[in-house]
Amino acid sequence: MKELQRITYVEDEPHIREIVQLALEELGGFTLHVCESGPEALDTAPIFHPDLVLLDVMMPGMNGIQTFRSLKDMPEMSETPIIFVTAKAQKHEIQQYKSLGAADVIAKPFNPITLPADIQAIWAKTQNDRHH
Amino acid sequence: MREKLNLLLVKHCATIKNSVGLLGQHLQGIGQGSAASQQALEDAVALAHQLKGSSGTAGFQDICAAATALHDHLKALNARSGADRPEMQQVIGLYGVLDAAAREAHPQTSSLYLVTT
Repeated sequence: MKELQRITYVEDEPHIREIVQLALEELGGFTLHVCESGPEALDTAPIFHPDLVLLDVMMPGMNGIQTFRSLKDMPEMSETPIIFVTAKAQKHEIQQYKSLGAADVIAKPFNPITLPADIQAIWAKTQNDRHH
Repeated sequence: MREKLNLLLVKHCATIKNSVGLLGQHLQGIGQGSAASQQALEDAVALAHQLKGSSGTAGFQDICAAATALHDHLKALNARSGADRPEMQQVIGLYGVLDAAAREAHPQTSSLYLVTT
């Protein structure tokens, strides 16, 4: 299984960004590129080449769904797993996100300490699904 | 990591207190009918949503719960474009709970602080 190393993290709220960045880089050991908005993610992801994208849903301007669709339209990002992060995580909402093509959904508020392990578990599943 | 996280928690406590204060100001602007009142309500919904997410992620569960309760109530009022007197009394009560939780916030009350010590 290919190792998860590079993550693009998209989140507009600065305090959440700071804590998650600390957890993913120092606990998870990932190489992170942090974006404050959907447009920034679209500009930088094709250059950064993430293995996985962690994407907030509720963002001003271009929201997470719009960002997701635009990322998936890029040839270099079409196969990259994208995980939504959202407070709107009722069962029917999670189904909607997955039917769009999301790898999974992480509900807010989440525990940043367990986030690296949660992401690794989702990554392992995406890799497993890819090979079967 | 422990020191860096602790510094973030100290910073976040200050932000929580400021944000709750600002939320209180927005709530004072809510009444019935006027455009300014509607804007105050929308601003309050947005700020409560932000507080809910950031405090929860930073491990301040009491604040997160209080912000969630207030946010849910404000969102329902926003959908009806205003609040009558009993509804505003309920908002004030919910804000009181949030304000009390925010006043008690310090890094040691975060669940993340316990994990890293």
